[in-house]
Amino acid sequence: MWVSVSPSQPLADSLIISGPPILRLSETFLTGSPALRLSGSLPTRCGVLNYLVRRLALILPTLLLITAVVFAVVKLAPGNPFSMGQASGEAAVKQMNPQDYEALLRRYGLDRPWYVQYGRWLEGAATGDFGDSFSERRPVGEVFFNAPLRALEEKSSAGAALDQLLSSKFGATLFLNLLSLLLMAAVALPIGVRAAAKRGGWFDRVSGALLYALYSLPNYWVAVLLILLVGVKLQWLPFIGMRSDGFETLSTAGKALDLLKHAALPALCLSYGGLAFISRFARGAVLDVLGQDYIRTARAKGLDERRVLYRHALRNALIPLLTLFGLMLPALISGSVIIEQTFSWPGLGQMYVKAIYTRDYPLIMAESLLGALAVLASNLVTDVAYAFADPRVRLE
Amino acid sequence: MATAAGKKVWQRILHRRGAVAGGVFLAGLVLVAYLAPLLANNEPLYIRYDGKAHFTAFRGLFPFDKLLGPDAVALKLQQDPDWLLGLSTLPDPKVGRVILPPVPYAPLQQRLDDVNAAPSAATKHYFGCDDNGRDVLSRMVHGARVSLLVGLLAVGLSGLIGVAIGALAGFAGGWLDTLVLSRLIEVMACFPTFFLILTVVAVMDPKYLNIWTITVIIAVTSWTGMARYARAEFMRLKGSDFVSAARALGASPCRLALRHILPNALTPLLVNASFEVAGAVLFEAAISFLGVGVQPPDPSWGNILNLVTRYWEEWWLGLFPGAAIFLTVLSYNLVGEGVRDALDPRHATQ
Repeated sequence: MWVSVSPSQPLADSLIISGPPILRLSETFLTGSPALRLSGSLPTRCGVLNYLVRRLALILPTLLLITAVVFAVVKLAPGNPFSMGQASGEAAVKQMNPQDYEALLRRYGLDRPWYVQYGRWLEGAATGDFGDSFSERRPVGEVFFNAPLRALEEKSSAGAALDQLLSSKFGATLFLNLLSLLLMAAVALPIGVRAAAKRGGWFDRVSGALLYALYSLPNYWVAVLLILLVGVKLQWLPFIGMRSDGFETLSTAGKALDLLKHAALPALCLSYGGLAFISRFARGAVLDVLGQDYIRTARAKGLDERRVLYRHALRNALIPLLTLFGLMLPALISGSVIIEQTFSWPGLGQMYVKAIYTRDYPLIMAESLLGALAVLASNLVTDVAYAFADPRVRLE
Repeated sequence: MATAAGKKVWQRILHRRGAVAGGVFLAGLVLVAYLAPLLANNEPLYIRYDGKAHFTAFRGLFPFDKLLGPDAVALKLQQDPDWLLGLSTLPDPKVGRVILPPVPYAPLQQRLDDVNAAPSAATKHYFGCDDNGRDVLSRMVHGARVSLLVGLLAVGLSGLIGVAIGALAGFAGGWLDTLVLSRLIEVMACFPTFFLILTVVAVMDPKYLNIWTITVIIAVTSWTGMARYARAEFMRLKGSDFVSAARALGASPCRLALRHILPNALTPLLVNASFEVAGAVLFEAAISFLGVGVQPPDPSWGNILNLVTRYWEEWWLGLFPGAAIFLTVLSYNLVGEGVRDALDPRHATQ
């Protein structure tokens, strides 16, 4: 699938060539982030290791710059958490007398220039302390991992730990994204394999066209349509929040079912865009493998086609596919923002939108850092995959 | 492209039904956006008023008001937007023959009677009304201007930035490329753009939050793709024979870059631009959908779609604007893909 690429051709092309239509993750999920573009120059002149060291060395300065820019943007904007009372309807804050207001600013260090505040934030972040969320009045880490049902903390079984994780913002987002990835793989891989097996046949063409149309569908519109049809009209599935009223009283199986019911629609919205991408990619990967000698051998042995395709072809095609799931990370995280907001899913994405409205600097900073880390990680995965897959790099 | 090769490319593009359909849709959309005042307006296309003929709606197309002074009909409509719609119950002796636009409502016109009205051909609210009694189709027709403008301008601007930086990196090479520009592109590419844009847009004073600032914000955060393509093309072309020939003739570096390399590097950049426009349209709609983009009462497809999350029973607020976004994005993608395949048969045969 790594077809001949002229040295100057960006990776974006070489990755995508595996089959029309051109699919670009970044647009599907609205990240605008370079999910599938190679960062930096192509590693044609240096070895894999050398190249990777160089890439790793850039991570820290990149993170510094990103957080500095986000910090500056947030600070230079008019308004601060204490002057936003008007927006959140807290009349008491609005009528605060000037002395108290000044004191509050000093208390949270907001009276200092932004670079001093940034230095302080950096100092804390290096030791894992991201400050206290202004609106929730507790440490950011606690908001991320530990939220509402704190009573569960006392119980110490695996079930209780899972319960606690699921009740946190981070857990809610993780649950949703893992479910989406699972859904993606379960649907996309068989489609891709089938399309590759009968290349150019009706299934290949129809699935290609359908998935392409799907991929251009904005996920927020799909979310709206699904809610209108399945949630409002047919009333088959819930579409607000993560749990029904009275969740606590349900049995374990009942709880799991309830969670899955609530997650069904948002997970569908997050996964269908990647569907097109992964199935096309799987198709390309399997097509590549199908020409190999061992496939011919397997067929010559008289194995049935199904076994050849899934046990011999797909399994060998899976390695590049695994990196692909890594690439989905930033897309999923930012896709979560819109989808969680639409479905009132109590995860990191919804919290981010709220944090922005309330100027909750510590939360905004932590979440931006998380987003940056996701993009960096996914870029690194691309680079590694590329460096290992490009024979010109390997030969040197 | 008057050459034989150019003709072949055109033929290949026209052979792709998807690309043609996308192109036709986009051309239609441009037309709709430009003619919005004639298509969806409470001002009449033609009216016989007080014994004189007025073409009030056409004034929206050109700055006629400055040349001819304000129109009597327009002035009256400013005071009473529903004047012409209510003629059947409140006849006006001065009014003669009237031709109203197909959608006889202005995008900002609020009508209390029509709050959350369902789509109906009888009331001429073909796509229904929103929570302020504004006609959805009229807002979508005018919102098309926002989508097209933001998409094209953002990509134009990000293209300028990206090509300038990428071309310099590719053409100059050396330390400027490896130490400064390529690293800059690399670092910028790692920005969590979505979070950054959302943050910038959300913390901005709403009074500066219009399509121009949104365009600029999208552009300055999304130029890295263009820069990469430009850099690669410039690196590839600067060693080619025609550039060496031009250099031997004494062309300055500036002339080499702008007159010789750039025109030859343009096609891959334009194809990429087409996909980027699709991305920008999606993006604008997304942030407006989240409520931090184009602010009501200004119409945008995204902020109409946003309303449905408050009124789930009003399905028309969700169906129609979303379909417009989808079709526009699909069209840009299809056109981009068609052009790319036509230029590079290797893609097409895969």
